[in-house]
Amino acid sequence: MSAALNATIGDWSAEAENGAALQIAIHKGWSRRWSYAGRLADYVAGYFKTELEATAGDHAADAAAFLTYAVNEMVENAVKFGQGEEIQLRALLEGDQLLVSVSSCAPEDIAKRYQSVVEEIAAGDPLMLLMERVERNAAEGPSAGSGLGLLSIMTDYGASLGWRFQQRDEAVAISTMARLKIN
Amino acid sequence: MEVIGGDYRVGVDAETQTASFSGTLRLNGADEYAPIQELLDELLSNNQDGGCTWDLRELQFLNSSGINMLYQLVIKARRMGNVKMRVIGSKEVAWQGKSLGNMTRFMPGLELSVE
Repeated sequence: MSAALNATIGDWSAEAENGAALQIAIHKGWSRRWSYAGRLADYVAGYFKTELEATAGDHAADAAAFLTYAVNEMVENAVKFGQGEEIQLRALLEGDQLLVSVSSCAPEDIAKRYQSVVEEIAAGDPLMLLMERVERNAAEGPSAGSGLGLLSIMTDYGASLGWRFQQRDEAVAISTMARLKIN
Repeated sequence: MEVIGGDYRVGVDAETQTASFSGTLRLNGADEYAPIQELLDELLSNNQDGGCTWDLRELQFLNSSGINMLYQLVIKARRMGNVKMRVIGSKEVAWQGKSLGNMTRFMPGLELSVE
């Protein structure tokens, strides 16, 4: 019996799961539909548009671009690596920070692999890791995943990421959080 | 030559050796990108000692799998040695201002203009 997988890594914040937020769940059984990721991303960016324009001034467009890109990547990951279980998304704008979290369940072996990937990201220099990853993809040819989604949220949009892993019987609940400071 | 999907189009103009992208590209991984990748690969191979252009201005969204495909082809162009790559983007399209700059890290000779 392996040790339970419970951990928080990187810039994880409890705010991602508490308090008032836009909250959307993709029901179990619907969560393998790829196109939902893009549609959700467009919806979330549209949802915050007016508020961002009122509070973020010149940075509103950057913040909206972050939401569109990050939500799509995070939900794509949940669709790709989840077990068809429910996917939950939370998004909130608090002061000068945008927080987005996406939660789902994955089988233990996939969760372990994901954990080692995010530990590397949390400990390293995202731009260096992105450059290495792209060169490695070029050398090794197409693989299951490009591995660029999370890294590019950090390098291209200037956001920070955090993760929480919670063991649930055979599966592991994984939450990924992205935080953008708007200024 | 072109690849057309639900909400995107990638077409190559033989006259100018330019690939033009439009719409939204959020396909699922390298497998789904394969037809586009083959089209762009062919454009590159036809211009071993010449130049080719990607016009991305009308491409509103691109997910990380698509970005990875473009970066891979840029690296391939670098390795081919004599290809002159030109990429045109738009400041109006948010992801382009964020992600296109990396292309010159992978191929320092690449000519990038974000208009």
